[in-house]
Amino acid sequence: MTYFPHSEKEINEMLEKIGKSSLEDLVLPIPEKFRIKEIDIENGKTEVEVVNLFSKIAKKNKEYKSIFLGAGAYNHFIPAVIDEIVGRQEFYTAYTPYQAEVSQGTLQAIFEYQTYIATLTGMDASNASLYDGATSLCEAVIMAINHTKKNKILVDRFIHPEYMKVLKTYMNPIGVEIVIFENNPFYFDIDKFKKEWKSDFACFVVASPNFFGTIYDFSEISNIIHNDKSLLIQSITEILSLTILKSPGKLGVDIACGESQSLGIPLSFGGPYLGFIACKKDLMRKLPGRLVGQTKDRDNNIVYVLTLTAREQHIRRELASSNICSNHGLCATRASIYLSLLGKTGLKTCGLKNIENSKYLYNNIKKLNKFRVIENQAFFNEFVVITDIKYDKIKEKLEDNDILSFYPMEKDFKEYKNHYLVTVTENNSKEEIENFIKVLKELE
Amino acid sequence: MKDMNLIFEKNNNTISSYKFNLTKNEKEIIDHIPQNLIDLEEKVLPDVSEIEVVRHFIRLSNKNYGVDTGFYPLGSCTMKYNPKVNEKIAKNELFLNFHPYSDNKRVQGILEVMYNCKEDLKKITGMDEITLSPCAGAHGELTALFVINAYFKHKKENRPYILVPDSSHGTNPASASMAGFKVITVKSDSNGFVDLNDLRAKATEEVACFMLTNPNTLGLYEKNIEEIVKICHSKDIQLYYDGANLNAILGISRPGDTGFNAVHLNLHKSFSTPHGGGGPGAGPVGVKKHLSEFLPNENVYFENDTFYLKENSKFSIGKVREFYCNFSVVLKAYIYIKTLGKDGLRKSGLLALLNANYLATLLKEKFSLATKDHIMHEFVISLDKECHDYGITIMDFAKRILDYGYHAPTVSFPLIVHNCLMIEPTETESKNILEEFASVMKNILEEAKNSPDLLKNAPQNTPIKRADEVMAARQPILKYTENF
Repeated sequence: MTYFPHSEKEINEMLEKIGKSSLEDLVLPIPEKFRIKEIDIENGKTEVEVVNLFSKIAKKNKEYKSIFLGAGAYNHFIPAVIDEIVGRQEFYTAYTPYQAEVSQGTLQAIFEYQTYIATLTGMDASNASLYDGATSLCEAVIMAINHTKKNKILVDRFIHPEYMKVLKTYMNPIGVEIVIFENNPFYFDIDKFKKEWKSDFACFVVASPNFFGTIYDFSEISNIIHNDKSLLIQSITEILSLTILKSPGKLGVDIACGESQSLGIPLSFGGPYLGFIACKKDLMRKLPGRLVGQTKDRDNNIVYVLTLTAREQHIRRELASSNICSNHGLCATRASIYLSLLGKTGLKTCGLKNIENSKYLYNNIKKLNKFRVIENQAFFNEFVVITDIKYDKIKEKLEDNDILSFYPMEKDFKEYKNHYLVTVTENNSKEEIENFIKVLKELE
Repeated sequence: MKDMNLIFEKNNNTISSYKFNLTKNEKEIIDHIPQNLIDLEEKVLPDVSEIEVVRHFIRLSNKNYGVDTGFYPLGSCTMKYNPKVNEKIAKNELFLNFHPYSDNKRVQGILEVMYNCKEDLKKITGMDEITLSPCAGAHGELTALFVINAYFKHKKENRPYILVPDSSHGTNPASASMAGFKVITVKSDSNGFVDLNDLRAKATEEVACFMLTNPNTLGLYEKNIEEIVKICHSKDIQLYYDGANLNAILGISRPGDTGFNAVHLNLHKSFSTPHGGGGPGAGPVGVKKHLSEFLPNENVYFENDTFYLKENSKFSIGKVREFYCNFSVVLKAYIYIKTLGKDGLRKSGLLALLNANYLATLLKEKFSLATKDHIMHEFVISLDKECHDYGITIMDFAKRILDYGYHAPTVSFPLIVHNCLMIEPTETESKNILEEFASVMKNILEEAKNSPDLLKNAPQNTPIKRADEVMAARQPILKYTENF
């Protein structure tokens, strides 16, 4: 199956017009020794063959009945409206909105997305999206380095371990030194922070909720950091937590960044997701990537365009604020639809439902004999469970019951043996949670 | 400025607000979180009914132009048709609902798609190893430059420079900067090819990489490619293939055979996955053997009848993103490869060349092409003279194209040609469309001569009139606020 609208007759007419005798003549600028006759892959298939092939491949995947795991990718409910709308070709087959007059749909949806992100984070400006939470953290740190002209950063140890790995990859070639802040995963150690903070750090990166699920109280530190003309960056893996929690803006954060996959984007085995980045006004011109701004057209109507493009790679080249060209625009449109649909009431009850469900599990695990939780852990929808039962045994039991859960913290944080991350969202039913408790009991 | 069409202006606290049922009261639910960290204060969020949300976004979609609407000849963007079967298969919940930390045994189908896609892309590009991790073309460039940086560090060679042609995509120098390199620009000669003397002068042992787009942004296949390869390889300069224009050589030639050491692909260009109004795409990177141990650590493998993801090399640059890849994009690209197969892919390359050459021939009758030589999959026309003679701007010309129901080509790029349009029709357009477009272009040229106001006042037939970009940048309004 192919998608070429030509007939043989037309191909010949076209060849004649351009003065070539065959299609092969079109490849003549390529030296003969660099040409190939064919690629060593299979022949094409008809649509029905393709559908059958991929339905067979899909069946090799075995779904979990219950997902009690987040750790940066969350199992949230996706309202039917989203697929219906982003399935419209006008959204998904368009390019980056270079021609504003035929792209108001994309542009306004992104302007609304920017408003939502700025609102949730308590910031003055959001960009039009980045790839994911990990790369948005890298972009935020680069902004801080360019803004402060300092070459060293302090990073909380309990940010998402994959974000930490990506940050190291990005910082190493540009010679930025990463100093790790050995915080406590269950409360923000302000005294220790005061001791370790130095004026030559460009920024401090903190995650809240952190990878252990803890909501940190770091409201005291922004003054310390700002006194040294440095920046406070908050990385967030679970943007829905901001429906309940005080916004980064109110905590004195300068750049909020992270992952907004929770806003109507499927798990899809890790991507594509949606990176967000938002900042205070004075940093706006250092933002990476696309920005949509409001303006007027010649009829004096309010319209939307890509703006502040002088920051961008196609104009500034090596001096650009980032190399970003394609972003994750359609994921941002999904988020825009999700947030519009849920609205004030939906988002608040969604946030509360996440907490209610996870607390229900937390309180029930507390009652078990061989499992412990951290007393008084302040969490949104994930928390830490401790048990002496061997991981292999837990894993096997959960797999047998089609449950995905118990992320072993030891994997990334060696001394946290027997500590596991458990997540519950609004998408987990009461029956699922009851069943999970029953399965854990059977392990005792 | 208050835009009454924004969703935020439709807030009416409907009785049908979306909601989740809670069993406990609010206070009790959040009593484990310190009061000073909570903020349930009403934020600027709308509260409108489902039907209003749906109509709002349908109305927005009606103001958009996509490939399914019509001809979209954006140069270097490869706006080909996005097959519907790809979209449908990618929506299968057995592909969509898997957490990235799922057990290997449960995601054998997903891993099979990744692995086989990777293997096919190796064969298509002639590279020894591929990572599917990068999220976009620019991310692929950055990944490859991290790899090249690690390669020379490992060899204990100090190579702080990257060469890019003056006709290159802006992402090349921007990626080089982000990867910690300094950029040196190589000039094009008067015919639009890499100036070999300039390249020779700049290709020193302090240069890590030469980033080349081939065919370049003028649509020309570098006629001195053999010499370019020789110059670079004699100094161990890594030759990088910017895959933005791979569609021109798909099934015809492989960067790996030509002498390129690293390549990125844009699955959202050459392999038909949709652009989504800006993304998401995917930018896999392929490298030759000597670079493969520096690739991002996690990759997909097949051994003992099992597919799995594994962290593989102690020399790796590390991770470049969270989790492994933009799976649903990779899936759609792989479906495309399976659908077209070897003959289809080769034919798509040939017809992309045919369409570009046909359209160029039709336009040559009235327009001046920026290049004299045989073009490949895209071409650039210069309207410099017309702009001067008729007192119009290149933007006026582009906006007038919108009036005729087409998307405009890429405007004012590459930067080395003044007042230009860069046109890439792709293989999925018919002879008929190309002829119609050519005649519209000629019409507009007549209009420019006889009634330039038609261009200056364009567009008239679009959902909005000409947008004021200068005003937008002067005092940026990047979000809605209640009191404008």
